[in-house]
Amino acid sequence: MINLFFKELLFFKKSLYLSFFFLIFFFVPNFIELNMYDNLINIKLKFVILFIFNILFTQKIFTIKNIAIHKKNSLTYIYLIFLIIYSSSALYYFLIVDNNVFNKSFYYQDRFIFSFIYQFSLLNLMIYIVLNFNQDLFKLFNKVLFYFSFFIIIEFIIIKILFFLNYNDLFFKINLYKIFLALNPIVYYDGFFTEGRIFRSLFINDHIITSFILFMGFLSNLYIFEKSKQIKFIFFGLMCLALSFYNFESRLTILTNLIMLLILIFWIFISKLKLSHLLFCLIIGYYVSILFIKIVCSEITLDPSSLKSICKLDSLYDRFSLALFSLTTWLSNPITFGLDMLNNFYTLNNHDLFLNNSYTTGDSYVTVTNLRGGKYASWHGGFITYPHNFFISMLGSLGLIFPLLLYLFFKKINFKASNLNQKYIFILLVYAILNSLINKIFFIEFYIFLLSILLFLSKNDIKE
Amino acid sequence: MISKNNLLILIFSFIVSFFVSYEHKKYKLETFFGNTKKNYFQIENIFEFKKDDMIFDYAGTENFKLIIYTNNIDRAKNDVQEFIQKLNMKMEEDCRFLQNSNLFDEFENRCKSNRVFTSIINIHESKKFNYLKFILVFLNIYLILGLLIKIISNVKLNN
Repeated sequence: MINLFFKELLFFKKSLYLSFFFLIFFFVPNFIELNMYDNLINIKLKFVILFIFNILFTQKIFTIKNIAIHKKNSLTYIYLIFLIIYSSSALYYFLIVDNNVFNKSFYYQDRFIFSFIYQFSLLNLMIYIVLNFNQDLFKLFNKVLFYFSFFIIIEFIIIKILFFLNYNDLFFKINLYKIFLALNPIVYYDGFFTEGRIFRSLFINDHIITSFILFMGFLSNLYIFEKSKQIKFIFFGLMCLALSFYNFESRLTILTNLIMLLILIFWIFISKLKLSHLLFCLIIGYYVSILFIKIVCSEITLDPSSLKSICKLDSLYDRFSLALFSLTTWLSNPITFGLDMLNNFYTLNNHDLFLNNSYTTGDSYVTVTNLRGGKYASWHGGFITYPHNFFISMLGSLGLIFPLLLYLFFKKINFKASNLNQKYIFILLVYAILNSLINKIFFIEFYIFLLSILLFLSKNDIKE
Repeated sequence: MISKNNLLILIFSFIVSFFVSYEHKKYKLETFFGNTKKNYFQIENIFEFKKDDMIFDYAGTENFKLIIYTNNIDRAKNDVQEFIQKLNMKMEEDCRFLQNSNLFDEFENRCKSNRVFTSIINIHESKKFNYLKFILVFLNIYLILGLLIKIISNVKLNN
């Protein structure tokens, strides 16, 4: 057992850079979350650490001798592009946006620093993967995912037992639930046997990401089972799957999980298609479905009362409208704004064409965002949000670079999944993309880019 | 001597930045509307009667700004009046329904106070061409595409 522990530890140590990213960036978003406030700017300690970590990595790339000079030249150009992205964004904000009427409750400076560090780290992670690509990277990805989802299951069981004993006066006389709520209301909102049940892992602080990680854990267990044929992984996987459906409050997460289960069930048939065609069909299918909802909601008036309520409650349609709103903002300002920075420029949108319908409600994301004065949000509730769509978000972030990257990616994945790694990288990638289109999950770009590059580079493993 | 790729990027950047910096509409009509009480009806209903060229913005407390970019200022003014009329009719209808159903809890004031009124009307003549925007968009597209071409040629050269 001790030997196994040290073996695993050494395995993670080998890819310390990647393990660190997993922990600090995605799996534990609140890791070392110590905020420092300096007037309007909110600096998080974890991002400071991350930034220093990446500066050291960049320095290492340029000083290491076994990287060819032409590669170093290309990397210099990439870093130059990165600098242009953020200097353009800052210049555009201070010279073009009318700061007198701009929403001061949504701090540009704060977002700018976060975005700069996040995109810089993401860029370095991609460079790391490209320079060090091997089969072990996906193995490491699955191992981290397996251990982390297993840890969340243990956490869930402990919390449930703790609350059960507490509610039945068998353990502590003080109501633990109330203490948890008072200390940190967003960590354990769990009205055991009383109100709605939501499970937010202590490490994640978000029930949508908790469900997301658990479903990823299910896929990772399936992968390990297919590789090792050990039945215990099916058992762990089913536990992850069951728990990923626990948060019924998040209906869009349930929808995404169901779509993924359908893809898994029909994998034997759909794997006959090339990965590029399959991904293209899935993305087009998503947009066609949303357009269908939009047309139904706008045109058909057979039963106005029920139809109106369906359309009004349709969060999916809200996200779609927000994506279109973001797209029109970018089309009239087609520059690079930096990761998740497009929402700071909504005030420049002169075309609200896509909001012209009676189904946009007062509390929808798109309405609140549309009222770009921003202070509306704090007066009436709600907040200005991100584009809620990976493609639009990246278009705003990378500008014209993104369509080019997308073209290269589709061109390179023009093959069928021929091994287990490719199958699961693709499935995990589809799951991450679907979540980005349907649900907004923080740091999803990290996942999508990581898996895209693994899939992109896995073509080299195909034996001709 | 400028290369063919660079020339193409230059032309492309110029066309795109020119197109996005040119303002087609001559006027910007800003109409402030709203009331003094907290009013949930107007935000629920303003999008129902909006036309394609109408944009809303928040103007503090219960006031909103209706923005129209137009070449025909008289027609835009008529559209605004029509919009306010329709909005008020709908809000009164909703309010009376709630009042008759005894669901009038948080809006304990009378339905009359939910009516919105226009206050300030501003007409701005738009700048035909935004030079600053043109320069920033042009530089951004040109530099980024230029560097991308450099990376691609660097990779091709060493393969």
